[in-house]
Amino acid sequence: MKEAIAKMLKKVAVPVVSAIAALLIGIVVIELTGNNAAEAYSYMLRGAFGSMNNICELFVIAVPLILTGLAVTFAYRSGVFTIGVDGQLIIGAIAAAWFVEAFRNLPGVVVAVGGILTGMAVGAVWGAIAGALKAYRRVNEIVSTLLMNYIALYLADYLYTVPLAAESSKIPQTERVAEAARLPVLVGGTRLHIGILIALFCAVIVYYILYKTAWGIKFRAVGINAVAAECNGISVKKYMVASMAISGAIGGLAGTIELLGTQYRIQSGFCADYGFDGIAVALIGQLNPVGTVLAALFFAALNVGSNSMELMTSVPSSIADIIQSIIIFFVVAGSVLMERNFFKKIAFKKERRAME
Amino acid sequence: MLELIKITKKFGDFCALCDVDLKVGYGEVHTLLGENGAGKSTLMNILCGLYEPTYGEIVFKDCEWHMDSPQTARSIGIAMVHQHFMLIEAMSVLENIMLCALEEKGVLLDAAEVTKKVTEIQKLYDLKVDLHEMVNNLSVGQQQKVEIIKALYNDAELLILDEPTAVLTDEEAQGLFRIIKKLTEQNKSVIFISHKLKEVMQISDKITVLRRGRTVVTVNACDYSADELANLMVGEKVAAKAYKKVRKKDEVIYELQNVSYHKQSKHGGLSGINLKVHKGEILGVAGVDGNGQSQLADILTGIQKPEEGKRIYEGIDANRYRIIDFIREGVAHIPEDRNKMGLIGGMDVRDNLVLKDMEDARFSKASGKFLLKKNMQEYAEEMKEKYDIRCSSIQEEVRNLSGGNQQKIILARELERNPKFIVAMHPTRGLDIGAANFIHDSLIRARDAGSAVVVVSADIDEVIKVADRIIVMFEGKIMGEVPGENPDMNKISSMMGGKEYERSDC
Repeated sequence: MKEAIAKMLKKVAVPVVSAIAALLIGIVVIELTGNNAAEAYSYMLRGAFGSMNNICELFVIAVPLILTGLAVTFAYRSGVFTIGVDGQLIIGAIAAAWFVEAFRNLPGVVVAVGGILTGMAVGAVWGAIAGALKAYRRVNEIVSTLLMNYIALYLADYLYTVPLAAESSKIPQTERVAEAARLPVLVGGTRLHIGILIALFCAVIVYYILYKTAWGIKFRAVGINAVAAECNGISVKKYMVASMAISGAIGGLAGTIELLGTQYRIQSGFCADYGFDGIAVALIGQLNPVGTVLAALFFAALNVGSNSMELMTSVPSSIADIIQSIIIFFVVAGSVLMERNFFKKIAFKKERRAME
Repeated sequence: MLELIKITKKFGDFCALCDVDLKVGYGEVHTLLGENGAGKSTLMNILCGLYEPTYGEIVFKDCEWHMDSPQTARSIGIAMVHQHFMLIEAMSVLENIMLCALEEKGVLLDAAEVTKKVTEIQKLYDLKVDLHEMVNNLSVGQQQKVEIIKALYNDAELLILDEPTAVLTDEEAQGLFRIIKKLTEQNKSVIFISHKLKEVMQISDKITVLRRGRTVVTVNACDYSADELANLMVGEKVAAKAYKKVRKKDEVIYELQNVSYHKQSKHGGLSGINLKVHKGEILGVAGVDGNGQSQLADILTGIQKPEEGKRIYEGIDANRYRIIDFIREGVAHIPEDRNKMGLIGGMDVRDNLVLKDMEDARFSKASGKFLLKKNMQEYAEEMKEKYDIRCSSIQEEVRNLSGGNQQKIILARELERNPKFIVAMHPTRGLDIGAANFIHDSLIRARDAGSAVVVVSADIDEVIKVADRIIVMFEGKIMGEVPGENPDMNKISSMMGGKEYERSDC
């Protein structure tokens, strides 16, 4: 038990310390811009947690981050370093948009569920392509997913500009999702929809698969040591493709939820870079589903908070981006140092000095 | 030259080293002898600055040193040649050497100057390696020479060789010993770590025996016999075990008919292999490493498919079997490289133990869809007892365990499945006598229970000890066969050298 707690602490230490350090550096940056850091931060806090509406908004922003973070977590745990969640998200969303438009006469629930399944399926296929290229043709997944992001992006561009374009609109965008097919709102008067429940459920599923099933052990075994996994009878290729398909499905889900719950239509800049934020969220969450959820909430709080900070003070909201970047930097560095027992060495030296 | 005084190293409550003293004179070969986990590696890691001792003094050339980093150790002339070489494979030998010179002298480096110094070193110590060859084209023995050159290039006075012969053939090992002789002639000292008593006797001046983190004794090598040293090391009387050999032949379980794989490669292929393995026997595969043994094991376990010929398992054509099919049909594999092929280093002892049986009703519901962690836990605890796996807990990641304990995990995983056919490749490589005996006992027990066992080993003594029948491989072919009981040693060695004999029945 003690051991388990110590293990937990060790895992939590790096991201928490990194976040605190980044916020402290944020103070310096804000002061350098000639503003009052205390004031800025207090507006940020109030912006994120100040009212029911703000808290709901925080969750709305967190939904796609949780999902993209989970998509990345799953793939990384299986040893596939995807950066393709962005593409899976957009291609899933555009597929869902097509479904929703094509079957708009069906009952709303059917349309929504069908849209979600379509988005996940297309995302899964998109991910599986990169997975199969890696498994069977040894194509580096970073390159293939990066390139497939562009294919997805421009394909979606074309689709909402020409075949799926809304008829009455002058700018290229899809038709608005019909009221009936939208995700129901959870808290009246806010934008918070049931997508947050879906995202949390998804986190539970990912956790369950990774840590409570034989598949999970196999996925992780492939991620840690593919040769040994193969020698122990695990079909590395199949698991690689499967992990990318699952990752892609979650990515597609992220896009679809965003479409059906928040934005209702796809246009230029839809969810831009959410996939990359997912990488950051997953890394800060230490590639753990629970950690990923927490990191996503933290990122969302920074986002929402910084918007209100920008409104109330003259501090630009890009401060939040800076803080986010610094956290990522610290977390990655911190994890590496942790791995090398850097901190133990320091502690040891101190102990020794104390002894002397 | 070197004196270690009362070195103690604690990891938490665990005392890895306890008041260890060690004295090494100029021009001396000093062997550290001890079982796995006796503290040899820890002591050497302290000496070369990777660990800091909890307390204790390091005196090198009459000065006390605070060894806080490997750089310090290197700068005062202590160099370690690790068991796993620290070379960059995609670079040439010279570039690798320059790389370590770079650390000392900054960015500007004269290749000609380095070459000159290296050539001098090579001439002085008879270290023949082509400087412009890529490291990945070199044999293990040559790579080791590069490591030694690297150490000498940095003006090392004291070389630590961590189990240097574990990866070498006998011939290469003799070459290494000649190099060591040359080193001591130049008044350089060598700390030699090994389990192999025979070579320890041959090469050492002084021997220090460690047991459970304490110095047992330091002796002159010439005063003690190998048996006496073995007893000091293990701490109890061990007799070289003789196993009863089996002669009668049961039915054939596995047969290879004219199997070839990468035929054109003499050291990485097989050509026209005919082999029958019977139930209840141990077939020993002897031969100098790298004559197709790895490929034979790969073919037998399904890691590779034969390019020509037939693989027949239990009377069924198994040419298209995948690894998983062989596992299901009761083939166990103790791979040659336990870290690379056998274990998932970043996972704990428990998960590694059940890796092949997670779908089993004992460990999960609905064939793997819900793991029964409690049952896995209990099973792992049971295995820990049964196979004497020494770890702080079964939650410990296996990469933190010593080689012997890692091998026991593999052994437990493979043997507990009651295999019909076992392929064990170098099953005791790098292990101490205690662990090696344990593994041999287990294999014999599996044989007596009716399993067919193939033991591949470069250590001829090991093959002779356990095998009921011995075949010898050379350049991808089987040269011939001798019985395991009183084998004809001359015949074996001539086969290892490439002389082919008729075989009556494969």
